[in-house]
Amino acid sequence: MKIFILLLTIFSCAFSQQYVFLVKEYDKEIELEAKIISNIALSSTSEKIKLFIPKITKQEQKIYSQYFNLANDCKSANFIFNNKGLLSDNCETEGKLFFTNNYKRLIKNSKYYGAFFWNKSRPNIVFIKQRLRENNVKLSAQYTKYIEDIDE
Amino acid sequence: MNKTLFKNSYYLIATIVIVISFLLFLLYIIFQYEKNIEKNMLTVATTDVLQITQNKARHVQKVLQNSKDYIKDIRNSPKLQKQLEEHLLNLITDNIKYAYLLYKDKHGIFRFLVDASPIEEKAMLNQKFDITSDKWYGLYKTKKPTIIQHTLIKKLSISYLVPIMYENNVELILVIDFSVDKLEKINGIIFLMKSGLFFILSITFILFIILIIQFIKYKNIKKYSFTDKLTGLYNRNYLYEIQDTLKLDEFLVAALDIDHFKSVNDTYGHDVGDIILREVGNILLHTIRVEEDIVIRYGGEEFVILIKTKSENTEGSLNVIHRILSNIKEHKMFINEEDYINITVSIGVNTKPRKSRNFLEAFKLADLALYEAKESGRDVIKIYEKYRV
Repeated sequence: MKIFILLLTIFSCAFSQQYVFLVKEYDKEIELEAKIISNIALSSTSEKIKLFIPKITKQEQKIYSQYFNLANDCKSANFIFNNKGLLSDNCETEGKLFFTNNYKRLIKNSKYYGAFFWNKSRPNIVFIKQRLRENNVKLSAQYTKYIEDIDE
Repeated sequence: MNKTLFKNSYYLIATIVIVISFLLFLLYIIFQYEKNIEKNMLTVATTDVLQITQNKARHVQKVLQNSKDYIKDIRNSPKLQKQLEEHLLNLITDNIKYAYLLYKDKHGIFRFLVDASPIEEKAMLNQKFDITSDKWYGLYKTKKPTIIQHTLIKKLSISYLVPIMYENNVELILVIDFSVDKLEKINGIIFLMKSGLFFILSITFILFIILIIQFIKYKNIKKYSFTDKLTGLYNRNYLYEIQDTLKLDEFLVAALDIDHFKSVNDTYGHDVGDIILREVGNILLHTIRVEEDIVIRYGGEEFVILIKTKSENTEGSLNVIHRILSNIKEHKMFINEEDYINITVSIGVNTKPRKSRNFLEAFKLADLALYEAKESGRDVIKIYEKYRV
């Protein structure tokens, strides 16, 4: 019996990589995204960041709350990260920084000053020079290579 | 007995070390083998695709053969963009996730010209592309196709970059990104192979451990069956075990019998008889040379002593026999806390057992000498060869 249990244990250990479904779900991509957005937000303003993510999921809430004070609505926030394209038009733009995760949305909508998105499965960051100026955002040197001069 | 055990332990440890080294060597081979398999399988799985991609790059170059500025002409011609995109679309399969054409601007930033990705993932014309490896820049020096293996990107395994040249300068780069599916399939096969081998190794190792445990158990049982419980000496079973392999020219055979042992038993009882046997056994063990000589309780009050001899000179060995006789004689055998008795023994010795055909014959001669010792009044050593002390 002891030998049987020992064999069973070895067999289970040998195939343990098959049991990843038992591990609690945790999205590394959201974790990385939250870290990057946090660095960008801190570099964009000296004010204390109050982040609002429209239609935030529980998973995002859990991860983003480790890096930000989360706002329940657009009004009480000073940094908006629109990562689902579900931002209401009622959200006032004054005194707020708008960031997105979609390059096309960034290009089309002038209220966004930058975007972090996955392009061909690679992380990409883009800031638009003109909009940085309009929002009075002075980024640190590490972000210079991400600034694009796009004619608008 | 200790010597034998030590020898057995030594061989056991040596065997364990050899087997464990062998298993570790096998594991090392498996891990080396795994790397080679992965590399070879990936090469086999991708070679055709890489060839096709190079052909596709040549084809793009052919389409642009009348152009003097590839980048400008593609940027300015939606028709040309569409034509090239259709070419790249042929490259997209289950394993190739993306195929696109890039250029490097004057600031060293890579930008999209043509992208054959599905609409929801399609990059815009001139859209910036953040690279994740300096190998992208290296391609402009080597001017040769380059493979980039992704370790940080979760959904891609490798990217294949093919330069498209204009007047010996890299003008465009055709890129294909392999999805992880292929690599996962390969790794899945390797994992199964590795697990199977690991399982076999584990079973072998367990069987080996079981074998060692059984061997130790067997040794203990054997030791127990060869030991006389009362005196701690070897018993007759041990004699049967070694008698066929015993080298008779290396030993002197002696038979020892306690004098008047029956009277001791009758007078003082069997408990005292046992004490006498234990004490005699103890004296024998302390008098012989532990590393060389062997003492066996043959039965009742009779003992067999095998004293190691060196060639024809039996003087040293006979001295041991004389010490046994005198040590037993001088020893006070306490039968209770205050009273003691003195015991004597008679010993018959065969100094030349090599002249006998086997041990039993040699022992018979020692026994004959013992009989002679008993007949001559006990407490004496008789030698078969000479029949004199």
